[in-house]
Formats: sequence, C-alpha cells, structure tokens
Amino acid sequence: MNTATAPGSVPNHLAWAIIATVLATCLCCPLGLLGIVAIVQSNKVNTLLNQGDLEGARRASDSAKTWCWVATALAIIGLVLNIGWFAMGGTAAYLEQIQQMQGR
Amino acid sequence: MQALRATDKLVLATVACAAVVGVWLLRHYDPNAVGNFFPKCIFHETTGYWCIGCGLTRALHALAHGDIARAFSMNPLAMIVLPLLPLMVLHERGVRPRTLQPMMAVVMAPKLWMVLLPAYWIARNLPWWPFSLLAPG
Repeated sequence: MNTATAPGSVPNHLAWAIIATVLATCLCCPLGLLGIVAIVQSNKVNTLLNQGDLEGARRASDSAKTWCWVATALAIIGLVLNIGWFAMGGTAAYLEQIQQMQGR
Repeated sequence: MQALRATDKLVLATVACAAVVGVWLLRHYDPNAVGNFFPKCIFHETTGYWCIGCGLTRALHALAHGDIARAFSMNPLAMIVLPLLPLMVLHERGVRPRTLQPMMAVVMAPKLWMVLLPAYWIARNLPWWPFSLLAPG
C-alpha cells in the first residue's frame, strides 16, 4: 500500500458527522437522521481507500462533508426553533391559544 | 505536531466559549425544573419516544455538578462519546498517540456508528430491563 491510499490520508469527517447527527436528531426531530448519511459516506471513504480508489475516496469525503453541513444546519435550525418556541411562551401559551380558538 | 490552522483556532475558541457559557447556565439554572428555557427535544415532544440525544442537557447538568453517576443514568452513550470526541478530532488532525491506537482503530470505524446510533435509538425505547437503563432518568 502506498502512502496516498493509507488509512486516514483522506479525511472522513467522522467526529463532525457524529456530533452533528446527535444534535440535529435531538433539536430537529427525525430530520436529524440525515446525519446518518454523513456517517455512511464517511464509511465509504475508508472502504474506497482500502480498495486503493483515491479519487472515489476524495469524492466520498466531499460528500460526507456536505452531509455534515446539512446535519449541522438542521441542528442550528432546530436550536433557533426551540429558542423561538420558548420566546413565544412555550407549550402553555400554545395550549391556551388552542383553547381560546375552540371557545369561539 | 503541526501548528494550528486559523479555522482550528476559531473552532477551539467557539467551543471554549460555549463550554464556559454552558457550564455557567447549568450551574445557575436547572433543566429538570418545569418551564426551564433549555431547548427541548422536538422528537420527544412530538412522538413521546426517546431519541439518541434525549437527556443530554440533564446529563450535562449532572456533570456540571460533579454527579457522574446521574449523568450516566441520563444518557449513557453521550457520556461515553463525550470524552471520545476530542480524541477523534485530534486523530483526524494527525495526533495519534501509540497507546490509544487500539482503541482509536475501533472508534474511528464509521461502521461502528452506523450500527450503534440506530441500535441505541431503538434500545432506549424498549420498556424492559436492561434496555430501560438507557432511557433518561
């Protein structure tokens, strides 16, 4: 095996993928599952490197990075939604609103 | 070890700030209290099922108060992953101590997480012992 295709020579962004997936899942409901795609792509980087496919590994690495960003964005959206939800008074205010609407 | 890149420094500074603010908030406010302002899990709010991150805030709250046992009871996997993540980031940056090598070889395999995360998700929601230990509380 030459050094170019040695394990770890193409970043698989695994740590980022895991953080983003967990946070996105918690903050932005099942959409956070998309983070799993990042981990799958991350896995492909290693597999392709083992096969000596440097070009393919680089593509998988870029793809993993893109999906990491998607999961990160979802986590941020989820956080903003949560903050907005709290700022509007949270669950209590929401229930009150519904009761008011039903009262009419 | 190569010098830190500019983006690394930025990320490091952000993480450090978030950690300081986070610990301060968790020392002064209680995520176990009713009507607290900490972000809730939207998945749990809508479905009633636990997700893989559920209990994370309460675990960090316990951790900020030095109660490691309680932290583990809230989200065991998160407590295991938390110390691993800095090591994984360092590993990706090329910092690879020889003594940690056997552990990192296991942890850096994405396949592990592909199986572990969904399995953990399902297992937390099973109502029987020992799976019930995985759910928060």
